[in-house]
Amino acid sequence: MNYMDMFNFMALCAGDSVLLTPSDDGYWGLVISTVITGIAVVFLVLAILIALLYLMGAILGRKKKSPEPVRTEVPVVQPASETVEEVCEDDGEVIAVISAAIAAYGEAEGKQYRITGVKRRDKAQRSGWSTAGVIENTRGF
Amino acid sequence: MVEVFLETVADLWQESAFCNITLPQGIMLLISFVLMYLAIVKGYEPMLLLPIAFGMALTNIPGAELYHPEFFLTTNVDYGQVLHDGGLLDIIYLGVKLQLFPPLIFLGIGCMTDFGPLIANPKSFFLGAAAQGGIFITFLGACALSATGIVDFSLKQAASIAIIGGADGPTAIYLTSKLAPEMLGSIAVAAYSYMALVPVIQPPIMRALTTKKERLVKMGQLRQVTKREKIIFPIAVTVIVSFLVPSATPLVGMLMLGNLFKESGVVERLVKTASNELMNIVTIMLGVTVGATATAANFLSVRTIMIIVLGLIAFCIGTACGVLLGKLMYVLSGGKINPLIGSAGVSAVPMAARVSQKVGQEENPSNFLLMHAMGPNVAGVIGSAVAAGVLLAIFG
Repeated sequence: MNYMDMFNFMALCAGDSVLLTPSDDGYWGLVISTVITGIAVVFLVLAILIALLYLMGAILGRKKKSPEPVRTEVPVVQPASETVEEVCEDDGEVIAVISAAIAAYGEAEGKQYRITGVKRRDKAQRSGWSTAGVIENTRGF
Repeated sequence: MVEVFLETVADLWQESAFCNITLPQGIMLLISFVLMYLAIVKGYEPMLLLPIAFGMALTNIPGAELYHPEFFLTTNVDYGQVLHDGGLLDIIYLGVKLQLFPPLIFLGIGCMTDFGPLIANPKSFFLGAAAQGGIFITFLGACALSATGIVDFSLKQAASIAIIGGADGPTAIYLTSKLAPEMLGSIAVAAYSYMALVPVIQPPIMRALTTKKERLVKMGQLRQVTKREKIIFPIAVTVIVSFLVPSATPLVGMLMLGNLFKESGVVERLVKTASNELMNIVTIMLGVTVGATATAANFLSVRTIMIIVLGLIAFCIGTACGVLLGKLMYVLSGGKINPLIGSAGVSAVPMAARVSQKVGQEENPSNFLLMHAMGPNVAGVIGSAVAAGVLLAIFG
């Protein structure tokens, strides 16, 4: 009996037995076989997808070596001293978060970034279109 | 003249809800207010919990006649009666009964999901599969509970309760609306409440099942995934899953359609619509009508308490199964895989992945597990849809 036969057999049994109660014969057989079949089918389907992904990766993927050296520390913010404006406590935290996000993104592409300057962008200089774009892209957050 | 006026007012008063409300309906209204508080003030999954709570309030107002549960109890629904005699929520509920809304939600989810971390690390699929163990073990537990006589769940009802363990709201609604529509309100409330409580429920289980050494594991960089892989992935998954488990096609197919829209890059407008306007419209209608199924007769029973307890057990077991397989993979990989990412195999995207990141960072602030945990997290969405397909194939 192959996999599909087993599945169809179970479905057929259940179709006749879906009204079984715990005191009926075959109830526990159906329950246990549902558990085993369910777990087995989920693993089987996802195992096939794993094989597919490895195959796809081998055929279509670009193999990229990890960049050396592997950084083990939190990305360090190194602002250039001559261009740092007065940074209040809140700004420091924001700068650190943005730096970490950029560093993580750069790590995925094998690049490293160093901050050379921090300057607050005057919001008044941003055009209406630019502001709308920023709002739209950050709305989900 | 005055007598006629007074008589009319008296008639209106007699027909008002004040004269006709029962104690159970009053209790349901209070419960709906509590859920609204949790959604608005505490921020518990407000996108779904708020419309669910309000739908619950609307359906328990006597005389409003917005929803008639008796129309949908039979297998062969008289749709003519629904259209002729139904209220507002009866008609909108057709989208749930006809299994339209959950797949449309999955379309939007597919448009917002990045399967890159999963494609880069296919082993994550195993963690997504393991987390679905909670579903089937809870199914066993619900059947065992029925056998003790404490509560009487049919096999279909047990399957519907068990799907809460998948931590996937649309999947739970999809399966329950087919197998046990009378329990839809309770199961939906339980499912979305536990999804909101992921940051509270998961960490103690994760810490209990892992050692400090395991939690400190830093995982290697994920490989770069090409655009071509990201485009072929949804097509291949749809074909393979649909061929193997045809009953999972509506959910998995729509999920992958949305993802293909996103990855193809040629239908930006469709992506925008599916992930914004369409998603919001369907969420409103789904939430309100699912809440409307929580009538006093359906909700206020020992069964609801059992559903809430079993749902929590399903969730916890799913988390534990994912972490335990993560530990096994840690051993087999020679210590390269952090078991914490196993807990992200439940489908609560992206909250479960964030929890893995947070617990990992408690041990080592420089440990970034988020993208590694996103792999099992999105794999869990596919896994729970497959699990629902299996249960639907057997009991549907």
